Amino acid sequence: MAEKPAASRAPLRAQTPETVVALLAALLVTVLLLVFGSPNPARALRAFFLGPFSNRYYFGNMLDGAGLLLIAGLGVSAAFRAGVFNLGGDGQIYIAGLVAAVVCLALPQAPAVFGIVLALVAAVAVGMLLAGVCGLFKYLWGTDELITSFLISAAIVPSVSYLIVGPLRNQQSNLLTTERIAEQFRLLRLLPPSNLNLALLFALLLAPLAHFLLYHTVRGYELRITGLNREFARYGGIAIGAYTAVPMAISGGLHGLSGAFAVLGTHHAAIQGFTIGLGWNAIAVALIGRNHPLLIIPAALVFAYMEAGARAAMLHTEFSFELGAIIQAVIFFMITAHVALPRLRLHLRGRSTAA
Amino acid sequence: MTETPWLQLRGITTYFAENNVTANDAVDLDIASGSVHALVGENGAGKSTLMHVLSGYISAGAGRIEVDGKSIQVRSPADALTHGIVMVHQHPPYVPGFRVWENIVLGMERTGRAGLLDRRTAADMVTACASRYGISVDPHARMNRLAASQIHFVALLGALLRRPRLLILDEPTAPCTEPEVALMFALLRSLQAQGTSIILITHKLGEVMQIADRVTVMRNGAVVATTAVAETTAARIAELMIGEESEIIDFDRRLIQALAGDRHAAGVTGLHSRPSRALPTARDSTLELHKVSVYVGDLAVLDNINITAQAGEVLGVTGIRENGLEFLEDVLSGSIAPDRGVVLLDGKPVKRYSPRHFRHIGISYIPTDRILRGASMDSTVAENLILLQRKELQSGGILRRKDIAAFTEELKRRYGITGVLHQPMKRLSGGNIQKVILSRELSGLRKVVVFSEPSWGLDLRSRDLMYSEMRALRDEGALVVLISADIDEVLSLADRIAVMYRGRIAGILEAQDRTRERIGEFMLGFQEHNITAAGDRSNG
Repeated sequence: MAEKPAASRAPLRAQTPETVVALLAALLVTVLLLVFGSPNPARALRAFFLGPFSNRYYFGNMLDGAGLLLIAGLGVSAAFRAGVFNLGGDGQIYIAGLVAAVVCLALPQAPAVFGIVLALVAAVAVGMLLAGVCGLFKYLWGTDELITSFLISAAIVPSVSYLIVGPLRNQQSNLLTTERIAEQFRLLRLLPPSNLNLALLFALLLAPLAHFLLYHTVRGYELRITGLNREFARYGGIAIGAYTAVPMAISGGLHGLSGAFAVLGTHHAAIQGFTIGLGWNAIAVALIGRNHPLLIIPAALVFAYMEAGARAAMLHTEFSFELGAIIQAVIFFMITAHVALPRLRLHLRGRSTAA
Repeated sequence: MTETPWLQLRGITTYFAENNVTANDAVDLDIASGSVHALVGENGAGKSTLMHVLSGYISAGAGRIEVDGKSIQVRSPADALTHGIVMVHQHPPYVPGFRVWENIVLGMERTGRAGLLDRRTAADMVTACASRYGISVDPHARMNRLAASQIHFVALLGALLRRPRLLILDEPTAPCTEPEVALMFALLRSLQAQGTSIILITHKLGEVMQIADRVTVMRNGAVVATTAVAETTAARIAELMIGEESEIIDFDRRLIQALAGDRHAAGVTGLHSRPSRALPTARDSTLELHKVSVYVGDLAVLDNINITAQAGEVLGVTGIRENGLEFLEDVLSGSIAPDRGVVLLDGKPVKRYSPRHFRHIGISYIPTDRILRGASMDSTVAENLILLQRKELQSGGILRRKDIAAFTEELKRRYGITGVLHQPMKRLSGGNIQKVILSRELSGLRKVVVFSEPSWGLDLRSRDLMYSEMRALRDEGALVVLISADIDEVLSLADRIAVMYRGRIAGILEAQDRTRERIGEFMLGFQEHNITAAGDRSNG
């Protein structure tokens, strides 16, 4: 229409290039850090860009990381899409991982399928419970799910760490870890000696499934409408209360699944801090993928690549561990600053005018 | 006005590549100093775009702007301001939590020592300016507490503080009550007397005749005519707006007559060829509000309302804004529950007050707020259209793509919606957004339909479609409630008219005894105690 200035539709149209710009900016800062932070810049850059492809071990681990990010990223977007925010992914993944490990350790003699299914169900359930409760509180009392999910997660992380280094610790190991789960529960490795396992294939099936549910079902339609305009959804007779609690629970469940796979597929034990950061990185992945289930696949791959590159640069040069962590932080900040802030501002403005 | 033009636009051309629209096509415009120049045309004629170019919000692809014969560059609103050009938008942007004075001084903050905002000076400046122009507004009120018309006056005040030589107003009277329109016009006249030029974008030809010196008519991005108001008639202007080459010329002729003269005297019946029907209409329904009260704090914003509407009639509810119309809209749509009293449909009290339940029992509703409530602007047009039929267009929870395509194409064709079904709703013009809402609301069982301010901001054609739909619904035996602050609209469409004043029904006028004057008296509360139809007030 000719009557509105073009600015009104600028933000959405500009989003795709902005995502690319954010990624390039993150890459640039990373390169600068490597060049100026490393005594041997050429080696560091080489390790960063080519490291993930240099052998089966690194390559497989990168893909494995992408799988976990993909599942958690789908979890983040399940809530985002309904207009609610699950900031507690980190804690949900961590505790779900522990629960999966405990289930397996409690039944060392159980048949493989039974133990795996039980561990997955338990992990998903605990994730659903933790996030769902935040959605339920929002529905009942209007508490801000952004705050509650974050706080619950912040309390859970040290609690889980305590259990791993305390009562559940494997005294024989030098690591702060539980005992390793029995052989039959470990998912098939696809690219030994790397950690890549069946979970990746599962994740790759999950994304199209999520896409189908979101775009081809009535529930998905109602969820998207609720996320885009709550007042309109209410006006149209959509039960918006349900679309507060349920998407949060689904989000938590997917985070739980990601945590379970980190144990059953990747690490075979719950190690202190083994999934820390995954929940936050999943937010960045969901944002890069614009909360679109199919776009989250390449987003997870790109993010996992940058993460793996940073790790390779760290291992192959005198690059310190802290700088590796800084690179990850830079990536996260660049993405959230470019993509999330305008959305978050919109979200907060919506709240203040509604109040 | 015979002065030499102070401002000249020459060959302004604006092209939006993204939707391939030439919004302005080589437009010339002369503005004399100290004149009121009206700019009229249907939605999408390019009026606002032209003014956005002049005030620096968008840049034109070609053309030049001259002030006092010298060419100027307007690249931003700040550039425009240096030449004394200020625009007040149709929907003025504001910061919700800010106070009135904070909003007004935004962008022209005067800082005292240590860079601190000098609050008192700023607030005083605002108060002084407001009283000079007879505007009553509390400079310390929070913006989000103000009515739409007050927000307009605040925006106007902000513009005046910047001492404009040219003030551009985009539909300034749209949300205003009649006294507010009078106030605004008095203000414009005093500005004019001081030598300020004014460009007024409006849909209301009566206002053009009343206040403007000259009028420019735009159509499809081009200027059709510019003429002195004294030398033309409203009918001629309406004719120019619609255009004579139109294929449905007979319809336009009658529409032009209707618009130029008294709308309800001419009657707007059946002008538009009515869309064919495929879905049923329920008959014999009744809708009753029984002793309904709604409180905000201690204030009864709806005070013991008793009305009954029957199938086959249009019940009009009118009143000055802020007298309870908006709360009535919310109660009738299930958005809020009355604190006292009940809503009865077909003699049975409704079970729950939620839009979901109201939809379930057959009450359709076209809301005042089309952007926030009536549509999801980021969803596609098709997704907006299927909202009410989503359960019918699925099997086993899965949406049937083909049926959805057929259903939405059908609505688009039947209601003449211009736009692409898979594009976001926000690409549509205001008139088309309302058509989407209308077609969706009438796509289910037509039993009770509540229209709230259905014609706000619509052009002539879309408005006429709306009116003929409303009449058709009534003739089919549906029950129609029309909530509107526009007296003429209610007079021309409603069978009975309830007038609200301070949250009460001041009177219900039957067909024989309704006139503009009578309604006006009820609206202003003069007639309140004489009436019989207002019902029992003993427990109110």
